[in-house]
Order: sequence, then C-alpha cells, then structure tokens
Amino acid sequence: MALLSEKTRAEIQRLTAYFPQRRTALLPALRLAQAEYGYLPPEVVAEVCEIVQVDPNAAEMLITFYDLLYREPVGRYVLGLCRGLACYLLGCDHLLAYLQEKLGIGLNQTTPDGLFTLRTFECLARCDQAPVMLLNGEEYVGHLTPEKLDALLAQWAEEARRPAEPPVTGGEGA
Amino acid sequence: MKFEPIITRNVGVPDAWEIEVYLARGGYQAVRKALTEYTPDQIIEIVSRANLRGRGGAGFPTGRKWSLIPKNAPQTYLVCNADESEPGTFSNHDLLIWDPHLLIEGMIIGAYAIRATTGFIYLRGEFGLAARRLERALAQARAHGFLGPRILGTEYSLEIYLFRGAGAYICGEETALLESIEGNRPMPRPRPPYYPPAIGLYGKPTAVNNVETLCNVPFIVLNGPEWYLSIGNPPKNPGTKVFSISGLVRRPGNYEAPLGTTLGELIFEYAGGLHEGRRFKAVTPGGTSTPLLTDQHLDVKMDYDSLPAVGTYLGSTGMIVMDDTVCIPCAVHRMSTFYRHESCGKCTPCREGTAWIEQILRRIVTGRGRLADLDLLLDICDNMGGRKTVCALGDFATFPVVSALKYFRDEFEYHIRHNRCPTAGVAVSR
Repeated sequence: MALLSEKTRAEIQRLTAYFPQRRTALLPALRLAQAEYGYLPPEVVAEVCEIVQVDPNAAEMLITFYDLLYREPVGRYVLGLCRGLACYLLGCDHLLAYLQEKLGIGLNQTTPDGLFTLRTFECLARCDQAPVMLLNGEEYVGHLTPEKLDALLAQWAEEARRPAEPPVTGGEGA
Repeated sequence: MKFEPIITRNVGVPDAWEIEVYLARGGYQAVRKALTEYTPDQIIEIVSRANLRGRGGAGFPTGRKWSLIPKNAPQTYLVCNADESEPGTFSNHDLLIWDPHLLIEGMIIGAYAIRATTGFIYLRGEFGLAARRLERALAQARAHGFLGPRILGTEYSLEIYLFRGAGAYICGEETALLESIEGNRPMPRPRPPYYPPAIGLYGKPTAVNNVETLCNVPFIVLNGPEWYLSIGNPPKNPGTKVFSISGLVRRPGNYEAPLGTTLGELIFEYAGGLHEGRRFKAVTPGGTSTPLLTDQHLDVKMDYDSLPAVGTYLGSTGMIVMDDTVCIPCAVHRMSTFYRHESCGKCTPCREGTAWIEQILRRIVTGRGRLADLDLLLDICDNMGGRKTVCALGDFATFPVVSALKYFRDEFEYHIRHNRCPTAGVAVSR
C-alpha cells in the first residue's frame, strides 16, 4: 500500500518531532517524498499528510505554489535553464532553442526515453557564471555553451545506461 | 584587488567551510568574546553604534531591529534570510558555500542579543551545495560546543535549524518567509499587525536578518564600532558591501568594496570594464527591483543614501550591466517576465499589473506595439506602486519599467515605429 519506503516514512516522522512545530515539517517532507518518488501524485501526498497530520489541501497549497515541487512525472535529468536578465544577455535563449532542437522536445516536456526534462527558471543567483542551469533542482552548471551541453548530455545518457547510483535530486537537508 | 576583503576574506580559501580551517583563521573568537564579555544589551549597543544597516535591501539599522524585540518575551526567534533571489544577486550564495561558519557565528551573536534560543536559516531551495555545507557546518559547530546547550560553558543555549525553500522569490519577503517555515502557502502578511518583532515566527517576536548583515556582526564585535565606522562612507553608511556584478562586463563576480564606492569604479575597475569597443548603457544598481542607472550616474556613490538622491536604491547590489548592444525594451520585457511569474497573487494590483505589464511589453518587442502603450504602461505602474499592495513586490515590478521609460523612451518608440530593435539586435556577447 505504502508508496514511500520505510526509510523515507521514518525520516518524515522524525522531522515532525524535530522542528518546534509539527507543520513546519510539511515542506521538507514533501521534498523528501519527491526525492524518492520523483514527483508528487495525490497518493504520495496523502501518505505524507497522514504522517505530518495535516489536511491534503494544506500540501496542495504548497505544491501549486513552489517551482521545485512537481505534480507530474519528470525525467531522470531535469535541465533547468536560467532565463534571468544576466543569462539572457549572455545568450540563454539560444541555448534553450538549441536544447529543444537537440532533444526534440518543447519546454516543460520530457524525452520519450524518460531521460531529460527541459524547463526554465527565473534568476538562479549564479549570474557570474551565466549562462547557467540547475540540474535536478540542486546542482549548478555554469558557463554553458552548445559544446558543453553536448558533452554533458552525452555523459548523462551514458551514466543512465550504467546501473549506478541515482543522480542527486531534491530533498537533502532538513 | 584594491580593497582587502573583510567578510569575504575566506571566499576562495581551500576548505574554508571546514571548522578546522575556520578556527585556524580566527573563527569563533567573536562568539567567545560576545558570550563571555558582553550582555545581550551591550551587543545591541555595539552593533547600534557601528550603525550596521541591513544588507538585504532595506538598509534598516540592525541594532535598532534587535532592540525592538521585547526583552522579557518568553520565546523569541532569530531567522536568517538566505533566500537570495533578487535577479542579479549572488553574493550570499558565495558566502554560504565558502564560509558557512561565519554566518553561524553571526547568528549565535545575533540570537544571544535578542535572547533567542532557537534560530532558523531559511535557505533558497535551489542551493544544493550550500545546503550540504551548512548542514555539515552546523554539525561541526554543535560538536565543538558553539551550538546546543550551555555554549562555551555559559548559561546561553541555542539551536539552529536549516530550512530549505522550494523555489519562490516571494519567500525573500520576511513575512512570506515566516509563512513558509510555518508550512503555509507563502504569501506576505499585512503589517500591521504582523510586524515580525511583535508577531513573527509562530506568533512570537522575531528578528529576520540577511546573510551578509549577520556575517558583518563577528567583525564588529571583535574590532569594535569605531573600527567599523572607519570603513566605507560613515557615519550613515559604514562598512563594506559585497557587490554582485554580472552581465556584459569582462570579469563578472562578487566584489567586496567599501560602501560609497562609485558605480564607475565598480564596473570599470573591480569588474574589469566592458568588452572591447562597447559603451556603457545601463545597470540595475540593486537587482532588477531598483530603478535603472545610466552613463550619467557613473560618479554616484553606491550606498543607502546616495542612491535615493538619484531616484534609485542600493537594494541587494545585484548589478547587471548592459552595454550599447542591448535593446532596453527587450531587457525590460525580460525583467517583467520575472515579476509576472513571482507575484504571489495575493494583491490584485500586483497580480493583474505584473501580467499586463509583461503582455504589453511583449507586444512591443514582438512588433505589435502602439505608441499609446507607453503611457498605458505608466498608468498601470501608477496603479501598482506607492504602497498599494501588502508587500513591496508591486512596487518592485514598476521600477525597471518606469525608469526605462524615463531614460530610454526613444528606444521604445523606435521599437513600436520600426518593428525592430534600436540596436543590432538581442545582445549576445559571444
């Protein structure tokens, strides 16, 4: 029945007692659940809310607000190009077009093999390395060029072919 | 660099985030001094005399903010705002990655000053590396007795929680930030009654301070207010500021410089100037949420009081530099997409206004604009700005538009009349 692992459920349980007030654990719990399940369908949300002891509507209020919480499945690698002003001045629109062409998908779509999701972010606070992107909501990759993207995409596709550790995703920390 | 960094002195030092390195470089001496030599009120007095002002953007005096916390309150909170999201700003990001112990040390002193036994670091959700470094630093600080019960053998105890956001600019607004920690949809609270020093986190008196503000505190405690007042542009603008300079400059990066350093020095000396053959056109002095400055402002001092004299603000000192290849209407349209996306939707003028501004600017830059659009934009801005909304985002969204129309109205008119950019096109420097 449970969609989340015993480990994640126990960690969410721990968080509810860790913070000064129980409900503070809701957002960290949703991030943990997403880190394991990949996204937040209603059944997973219900499971989280049962442990945190809040109404599922409380979680909906967060999922529909925050950019890093996903309602729908995403690819193994979520490529989040920054579209802030500094990245714009350094050509992020060209990179976005390049990625769409290369991956054969539109914005906010996932490649049929489930590997890559393409999205954009507002200013990512790493303008000194513009144009920049955020991988899986966590890791920064800066000074992007088409050549660098080619190499990274090849590397990630290769990584996905090997049975290896899953990539870093959201949910670390509190 | 011409200025010896103070608060960014550990940025770039190998393993600066490890407590052994931090201690070897003089770390946690300020905590020892604060907790063993001073009372909480004396800390507030020292920080007040140093005239440290909030580095998040508003410039409110930190000592006064702390003095607003009731001294007899049974429960108070110190919250560090590390939700760095103002477009063009990336200075906290470096401090958090390189020097998490400096922030923790500043927080311990700040929490002691307001008699808080609980602190929160509200970290921008995207900052993965900073989250790992902070978690590690908090654990190291606990193991060394700088956090937890009876710090350094004194009566004072403190626990600090790391709380990660999940992608929302509005969480940098302090009351929305508190809503986020409380597990609610993060929309700003009306003030009155929700002034954080009176009704803050969990309804208790709360001080919310920016990362860079707190990172100044250990140095002020160690070296004294007179030392601090010898730096920058005293008496009202003492100390340094970490300026984030990006866009079309040769050396984008964070540069710590005395408050009062001129705009021209920052762009042309610190950041290495513009690319070959380019001319300076405009800059966002304090992130995109501050009115633009142009080539007539290169001698303006960058501090809290000199910038309002020329119609703008120091803000978060996120300086995105635009040269003469940049089409201002296109750049301003890009800024407007940010506010449209990040408006939380609570207040009608902001929710509707940010959407209309973006739509009208989009039709201008895609060749469907009308000359009447320019006054329409100003009219919409007039209906959003000037404290018509619960928080300042409504005002912020108007600043780039109104200032661009003030300095570059001809570019908008050109775009509308000729259906193309007044410059070579959308600037791409490579």
